[in-house]
Amino acid sequence: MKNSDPITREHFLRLLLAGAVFTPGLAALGGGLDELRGDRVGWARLKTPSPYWLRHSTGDATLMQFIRQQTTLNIDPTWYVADVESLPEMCKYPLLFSQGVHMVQSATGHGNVAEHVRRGGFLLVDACCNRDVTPDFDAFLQQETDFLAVALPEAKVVSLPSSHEIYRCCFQIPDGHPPHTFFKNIYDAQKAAHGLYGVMIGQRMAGLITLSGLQCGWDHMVAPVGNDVACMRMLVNIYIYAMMQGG
Amino acid sequence: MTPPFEWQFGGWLRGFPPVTAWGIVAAAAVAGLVLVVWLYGRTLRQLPPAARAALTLFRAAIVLLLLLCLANPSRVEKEKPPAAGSKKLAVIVDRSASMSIPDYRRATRLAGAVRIWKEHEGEASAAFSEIKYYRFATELAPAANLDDAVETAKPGPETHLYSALRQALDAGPDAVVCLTDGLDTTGAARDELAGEALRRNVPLYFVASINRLQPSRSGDAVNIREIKAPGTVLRQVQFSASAVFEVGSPRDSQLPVELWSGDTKLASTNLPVRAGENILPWSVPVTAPDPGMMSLEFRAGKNPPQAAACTVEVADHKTVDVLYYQGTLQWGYRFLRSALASDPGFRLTSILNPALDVKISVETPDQPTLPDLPDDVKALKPFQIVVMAHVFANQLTARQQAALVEYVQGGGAVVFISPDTQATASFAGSALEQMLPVVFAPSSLAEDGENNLNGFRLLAVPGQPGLPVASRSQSLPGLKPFALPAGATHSAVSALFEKPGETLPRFVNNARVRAVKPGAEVLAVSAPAVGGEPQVLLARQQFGNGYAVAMMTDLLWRWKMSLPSSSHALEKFWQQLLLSLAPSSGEGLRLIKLTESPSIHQPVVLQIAGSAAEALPTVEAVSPSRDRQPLTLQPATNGESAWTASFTPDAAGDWEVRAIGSGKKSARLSFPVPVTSQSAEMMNLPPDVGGMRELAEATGGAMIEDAPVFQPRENSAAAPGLQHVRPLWNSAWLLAGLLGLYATELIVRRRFKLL
Repeated sequence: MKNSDPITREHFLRLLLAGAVFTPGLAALGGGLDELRGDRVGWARLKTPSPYWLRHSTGDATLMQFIRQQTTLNIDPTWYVADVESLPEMCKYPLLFSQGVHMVQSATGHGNVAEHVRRGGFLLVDACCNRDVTPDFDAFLQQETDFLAVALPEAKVVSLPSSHEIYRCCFQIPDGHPPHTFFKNIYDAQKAAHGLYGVMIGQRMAGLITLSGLQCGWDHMVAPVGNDVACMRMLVNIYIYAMMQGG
Repeated sequence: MTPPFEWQFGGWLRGFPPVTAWGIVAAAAVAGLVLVVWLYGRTLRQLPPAARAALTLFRAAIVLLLLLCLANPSRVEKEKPPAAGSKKLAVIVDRSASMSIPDYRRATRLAGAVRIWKEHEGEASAAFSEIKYYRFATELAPAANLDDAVETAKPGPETHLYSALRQALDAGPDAVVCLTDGLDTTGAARDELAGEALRRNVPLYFVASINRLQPSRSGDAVNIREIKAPGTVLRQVQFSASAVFEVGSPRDSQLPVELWSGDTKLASTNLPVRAGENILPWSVPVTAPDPGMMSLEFRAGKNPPQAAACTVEVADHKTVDVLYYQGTLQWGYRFLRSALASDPGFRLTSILNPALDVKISVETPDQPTLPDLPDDVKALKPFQIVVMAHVFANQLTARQQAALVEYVQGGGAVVFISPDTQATASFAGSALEQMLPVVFAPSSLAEDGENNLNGFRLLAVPGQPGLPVASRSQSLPGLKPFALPAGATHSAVSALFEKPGETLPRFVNNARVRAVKPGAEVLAVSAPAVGGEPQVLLARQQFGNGYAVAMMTDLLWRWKMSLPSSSHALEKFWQQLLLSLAPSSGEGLRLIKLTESPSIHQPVVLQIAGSAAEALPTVEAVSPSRDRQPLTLQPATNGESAWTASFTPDAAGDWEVRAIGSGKKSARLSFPVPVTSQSAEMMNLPPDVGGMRELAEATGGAMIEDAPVFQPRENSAAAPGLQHVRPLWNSAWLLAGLLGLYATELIVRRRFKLL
């Protein structure tokens, strides 16, 4: 057994003094790490027949980390998959993220999207900024609206005003307008004009459609400095607003 | 004047004579000082003389202060015994009517008591420097002397014995002598007076007034003074109906009481009655039937029983204002809000803990904006139910918890919801936990480990980037069902879980409880695991006038997501749970008889109480011959929604008063009207000698009979005074000085390289 060098009295006193000075600070630091969190919940992407359904999923971990750092939400750092053909899988997640549901063709898929929402789930659709994925944002909005009109006829897609609570419920979103990520960082005035679109069933918001490319932002596509954080802030606001609305 | 004091050794030195104790301390001091001088005379390094002297002084001072602490000196304050010449005696004479009723020998109780007291008066004069006389019936009044107390004024109609004794104590006597038959006609509690006399260290002496008066043969005089029930309740909700009975009885007995609803007997019991006048409250939990008018009739006594009735409106719906407070972000709120939104009777106001930095307004239009959980009960009053979901103890101030406790005591309901044992354990010993029906289990290391295992994967590199898509399915604990506790047949439980097995809620996580408090009602437990005891999931208890509920699971949102959208099980569960807690609204129409002992040709005064929002009720008196007499109502002076009415019975027999309010609400009160008043004062009740003896002995006094009871004043001079011993050494300043000296010495030692 190896003997350590005997400690001098001076060294001992220094250690004692350092301990006395720093122990309260360490305790406070430890307390800060012990965050108070509620029920655990997972973030899932809706798997559809679209070839792009998991595009930008590599950036989701960054988003989860941001949510955990900025809120007390007990969200899993791992992103998950919910197949639109499996209702039990979908119902594990109260909020489903989708690149677009218009590609869902099967009757089962239609029914599952509607049933998830009717049970209290929230559907978040975000259009990728890439022109190869979303050639026309107005057409994309219409496709989503058409899909919902068939699958969920009781729902209406409405444009949210800039004064809506979703722009200030956690982070203050400048000008009440979502941050947009533009393809190759080239400004598109027509796209920039779009705000957020709520999927409303009566007075409650059952889902939300954005044309902003929020996922492109938090996945660090080419964009102005700070766009990634702005997109994640908008997402946090959407997430919290979804939680605080009646399901 | 400052009491004299001296000081003494404390601790183990106190057992020695002072000289020995001083010797021990001095020897220890000398030994310590010699050791200090010797140690500093041979230091490791050479020291300048001044430094050596300073260090020696520091160490010597420390040794001396330590010895001072070990000697444990104490200050002794001695209270001088009261001077022998300043003792005062109060003699109070019962001048109620029962004291002046002669027996067949023409002897009254008052005369008998005075005769006994006169035999002891000289003895009392020797023991007390001053004797003051009083008389009482309903009020205590001073008298110049015994004759004045006995002969002046007419006998009073009642005996407020305990009240008079309490007033006599307020005059600050050293002892009280009471000439009485011991029959308090107010129904006041004897124990409270005994406690008051003990606190003041004043012994009570009684001179029993006895004659040969025969008790009245009329038996117990029973009256239902008032009954109380809510004006409106929700169907299947449990509420309280109560009555107050007045009973005058010549002997200890029992009063049979019953509560009926139509032809159904809801409850019955025998209330203990002691000789004399009794005020007996009785409260019964009642479960509301289906919507409609529910009649409640209290009956008391026998042959024939007295009865008083009222009606309660059972409603299907009413407005329930709910305040929801959430400590952490979680999805349960979305589903709870939706469940309540399907019933417009629920109005929800939500508050998120301000530390979450989330600003969502969910407010009822006519409710004030609340930035945080109020710490004033007034701000909670507009709500009938407060839901506390996923709250941690460090999020609530003591004032907020106190406001919640006061809110529930005043009739509100609090639902505490948490599935996290770590969170609930942090409430151990808090005011909130004291109000709740369960005692939270401590958070154990094993459970924390289990939580970590089943719970979140907080990875240093988040997201598991290498995980294949096919494996990206969140692994969740299975949904576990609620179960009814063994033998649960209570209607409140069945109201929540109407179809057991089909609609029992399911949950993912639950917090553990250590125990259920006595009197609490367990509404649901976990389905028993293999080899494990079922855990309490839902319990409630009445706390003050309100309810406190503990729900130890999540908010059941995963259960809702597992059910078909056509299912309304979650909505039903939340709505039924909250409706079962919603306090009953308003008070029903009530008739209160203010005249304690009616008799013919004497006015009977009634009070009619009801909701202020309702119309003036119509009231009539029905005579024994069924003649009806409408009564005129006058606004009462003691309430906004109360009126008084009176009538004068012109015939003996059973009279009935009926009140009919709006919406078919009614109240009925029947009572006998004899030819002469049936108050306990005039029932020739036997003296309560046992009660007087009990009270006297409880306060250090005695019954005054033949033997002398008072000691001459000379003996009292030898009584030792009180001593107050207060340690002198355990002050923070002394300990701080000791530490300061030691720290200074260490610094100086370091300065001179001795460390």
